[in-house]
Amino acid sequence: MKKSSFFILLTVLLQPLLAWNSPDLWQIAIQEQGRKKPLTTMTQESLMSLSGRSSFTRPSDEKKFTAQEVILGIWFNPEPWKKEPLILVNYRPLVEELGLDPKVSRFSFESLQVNSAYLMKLKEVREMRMRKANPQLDRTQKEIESLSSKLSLFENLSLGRTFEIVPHPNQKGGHWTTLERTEEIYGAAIAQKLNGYYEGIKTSYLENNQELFQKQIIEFAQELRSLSPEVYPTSSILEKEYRYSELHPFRKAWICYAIGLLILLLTARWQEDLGYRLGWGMVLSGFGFQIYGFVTRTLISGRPPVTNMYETIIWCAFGVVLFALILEAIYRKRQFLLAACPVAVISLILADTQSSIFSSAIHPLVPVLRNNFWLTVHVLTITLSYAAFALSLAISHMAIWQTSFKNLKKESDLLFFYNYRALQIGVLLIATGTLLGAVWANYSWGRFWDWDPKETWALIAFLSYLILLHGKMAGWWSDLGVAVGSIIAFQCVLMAWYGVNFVLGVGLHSYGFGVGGFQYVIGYVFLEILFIAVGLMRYKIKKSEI
Amino acid sequence: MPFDIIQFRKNYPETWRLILFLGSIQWAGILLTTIAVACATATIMESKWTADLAKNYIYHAPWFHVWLICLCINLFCVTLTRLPWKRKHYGFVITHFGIITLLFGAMIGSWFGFEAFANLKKGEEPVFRLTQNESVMIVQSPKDQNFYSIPLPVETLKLSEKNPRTFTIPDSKLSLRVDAHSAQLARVPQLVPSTEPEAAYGSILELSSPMAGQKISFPFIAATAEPQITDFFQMARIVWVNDLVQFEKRMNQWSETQMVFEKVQPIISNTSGLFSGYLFRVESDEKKALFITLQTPEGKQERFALGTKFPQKIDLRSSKIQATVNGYWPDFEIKEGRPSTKSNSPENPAILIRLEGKQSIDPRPHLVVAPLDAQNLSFSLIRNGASYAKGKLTVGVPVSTGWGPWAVEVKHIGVKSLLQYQIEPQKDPAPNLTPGVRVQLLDPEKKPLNEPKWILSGETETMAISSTQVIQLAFGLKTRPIDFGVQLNHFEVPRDEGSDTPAGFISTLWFYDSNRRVAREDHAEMNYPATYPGGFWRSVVGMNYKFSQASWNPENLEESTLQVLFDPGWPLKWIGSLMISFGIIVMFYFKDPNKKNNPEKKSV
Repeated sequence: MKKSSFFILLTVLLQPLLAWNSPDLWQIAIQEQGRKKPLTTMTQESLMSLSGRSSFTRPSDEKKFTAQEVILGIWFNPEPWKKEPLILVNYRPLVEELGLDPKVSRFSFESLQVNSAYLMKLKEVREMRMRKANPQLDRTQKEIESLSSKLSLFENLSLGRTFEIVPHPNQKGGHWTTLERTEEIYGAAIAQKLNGYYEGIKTSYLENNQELFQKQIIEFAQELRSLSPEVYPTSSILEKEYRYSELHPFRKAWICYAIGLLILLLTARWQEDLGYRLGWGMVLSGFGFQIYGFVTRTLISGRPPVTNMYETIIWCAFGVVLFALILEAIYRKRQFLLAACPVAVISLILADTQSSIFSSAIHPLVPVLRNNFWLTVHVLTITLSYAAFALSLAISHMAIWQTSFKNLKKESDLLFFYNYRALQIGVLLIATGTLLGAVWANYSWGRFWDWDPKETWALIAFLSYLILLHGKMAGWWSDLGVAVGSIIAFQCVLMAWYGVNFVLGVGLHSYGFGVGGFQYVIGYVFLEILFIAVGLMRYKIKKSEI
Repeated sequence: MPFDIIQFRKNYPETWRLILFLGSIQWAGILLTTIAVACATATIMESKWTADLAKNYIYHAPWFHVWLICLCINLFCVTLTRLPWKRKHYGFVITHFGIITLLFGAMIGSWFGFEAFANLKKGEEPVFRLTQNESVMIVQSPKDQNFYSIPLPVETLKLSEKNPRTFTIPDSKLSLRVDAHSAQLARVPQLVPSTEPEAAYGSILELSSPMAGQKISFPFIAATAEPQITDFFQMARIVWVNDLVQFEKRMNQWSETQMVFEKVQPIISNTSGLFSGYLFRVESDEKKALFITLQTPEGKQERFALGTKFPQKIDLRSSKIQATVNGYWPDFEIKEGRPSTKSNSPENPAILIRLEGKQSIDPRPHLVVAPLDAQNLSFSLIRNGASYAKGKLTVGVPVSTGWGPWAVEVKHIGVKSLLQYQIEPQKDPAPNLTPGVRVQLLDPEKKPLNEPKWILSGETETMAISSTQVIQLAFGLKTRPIDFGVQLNHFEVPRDEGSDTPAGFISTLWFYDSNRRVAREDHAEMNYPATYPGGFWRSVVGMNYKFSQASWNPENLEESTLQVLFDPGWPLKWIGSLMISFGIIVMFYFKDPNKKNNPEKKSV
């Protein structure tokens, strides 16, 4: 078949797919990965797992598909979807080893499933796991395992195994079932009825009959709920989660922060008063979005949002803006917001886009974290300290900029003082947070301090800032030195937060081991070193010119 | 002030200079920096190698402890240099004393407290000892037969023949030399030729997979007439028989005889050793006609009239089984060791039923081997009841089994041998390997009295120290006696809804006092440990034993491991922590209410 006619045929086959989001799909609940959620959340999380994106653009005709369309499509009509380049493989060396096209990073289920290099490598990794309980896998092997789980997810979606939408008849924590196995629990009559609904929505979906699909979804949801109304999540809870995921509060937050930052920068010398109020207002509304996001997320998951990399980074962004707002209220200077906003914007953009490192899915906690009091107190304190140090980092940059590149003494002196204020908050919180962690560990693991890498690096970060402050007292370096030191010491914070989980990969804090992002972090560190070097050189030149 | 610092400085200028030096900020800077660098290095060591290495070279090394003591001295001295303390010094003093208190608490904890663990199984007797993470050698004294525990930290000593550890046996002039340690010891089977009467034809098979890099040995000796069946990863079976042809014939056939009665349980005998599942009974109706009733393993009930001519075939609708009535005794009795009948009237009817059929064919593949000669075994590979490969297995010639990458090879045949096991270190880690040490007895002149021998962890070894006397040795983890007992009464692992992932772990522990009476019940959960003797205030002052949930065995839900902590230094640790945090707050935010908030000045 010629290439062009193949594509035409493919387009015709895929035509029956709808091009919108059903506004009521959230009414159907599904039990997946240990908790009950609306079907809409599951479609988003599934597409994110498979593809790393929240939507799919078909290469043949650039048509855009929402997460609902893709996942429902795989369920109702898997064959064409098996050929679409959905599955993300973004580790370049693996793409090469599998002999795939290096220009793209997404591939079809079909092509990957039969890829002989993939199958052979997967077998190797499985045999390594058979030999040893915790084998040392290299990066490629870890990526192979991750790819294998993506392919399994796709397969389970296409066979309907993931869709456990039929509630347990009487137990709140009971295991839900798929449509195929309904008969075993509810009997043939109900199973037939449910299958009737399923066939109905499938047909109207594939025929692109939006109105009918809508109506049938609502009826289907009501029927499923009626099977076990005590067990089925309430409509309000499902809707709350749906609204949360539709709103993308954290995305709206950084947009507000970015606009606020722009306004504050542009009105630094012109229309200062008006600009200050507007900018302040924008930042506050972004802050409001963040508060809404945290409160909703906490209500949905039943615990504070500080348990994985995604949650800590959005909480840090929140903390930076919070401290900036507090300090700004005390000193009435826009410098704090000017410093905080870039940090918040960058953090939230990273959270939004780097889904392989920052997964926004809500999962049940590992047992050791299931204690809301200690969890709240220890983790929030530590991450707030990171936020304070991030604020200090930003202010230090501004201070070095003022001193070395602009030389406005009064400005820079003020900034050095503000840096000190941020450092104070950070040092207090990191000391308290680390000690709280030790007290929690004494309780949870039966020992106060065990030199676990995460504990140790928190201590090292604390010691670095202590050395920084003591050095200023001893006269070893000036305020400029403290600013430079703040940037260097922040690298220890980065090590404690990211490095322990992603570079060292050992220790009891094993809740978030991952791969990826290493080159970017190294790149960032390199840029910081460059900035400091250039800044110091310019300062020395300036001083010698005087 | 009762203590006049000015006077002190005048009278003891040298001491004061020393205090100034020890409390100097330069010295503080050096201390903090070296501690930070050492910790960072240790975490990298831990990531590249092991946590134990990092602990032994840095965190628990003597020089690190000395360094921390220097830090305490530095902290103490710097507070002295600010005497007399003014209002602005309060935060500084509290913080620095807080750090000293915390470190002091850590010292007390490590001297007077301990960490241990207890691996408990439900239903076992309460344990009055806890296990610690140190290895010891336990040696029996030849004089008083008592056991002495000698520390042997094998993880850090690099034991080798060039670098052994020797220690004297208590109450004697003999010594023990330990010259090797391995964490991967296995009992390796060996065939040793022998003329003993029990010696028989034996063989060692090895199954290997080049891809998985695994080699597993299967020793067999022709000791019994019955087939010896060994499981292989639950995926296949290896069977050793005396006669291959007979085994194949009988493999798919089984027979069972049941002597069935009306009023008592039947007597059943079966060639496969397993009950067929068919329950027969004799029943009579009102007219005294006799029936055979039967309940199939699936639960279905069937009924047949008893005939008059024997053998009577019973037509079971299940095609797998053939049932035949081979005998009927209306009034059953045993006469001269054989079944007989007292009369013709059905007072005590008994029926002999014979069942035959094809065995539920084990779908797993079987490798069946039988002795052939001094160099060969005969083999048959069977799947689904049919043989797909047959032939000879010659020593040293591997043959593919058809089970994925696995190949079988006869390593050794001993026509008249005994099967013995040698303890040897293995190169690659695998399950079921045990740690152990190699030990040799030395006489008073340090000359060896025997060959070096491996002792497995947890096992007792007996060694002869003379022609008449022996002593016992053992190697394992140190145990520590406690004056109360612990027992696992119940263990629960609730799961996340709809999945297998554990949502938590709850161990119910019973504590026994020294009279072996239950003194207390408590639960140990993640984040909520059990305590003994219990009580809030005892925990505050660190006088409680704390039992935290440490780990579990996913394959045995009656087993739970608890981490035990006794830490009398705990009160100093939390008091020190509070002092540090409080002191920092005071230092930063409440130093001097009179001073104006000047951006230029940040003094101590």
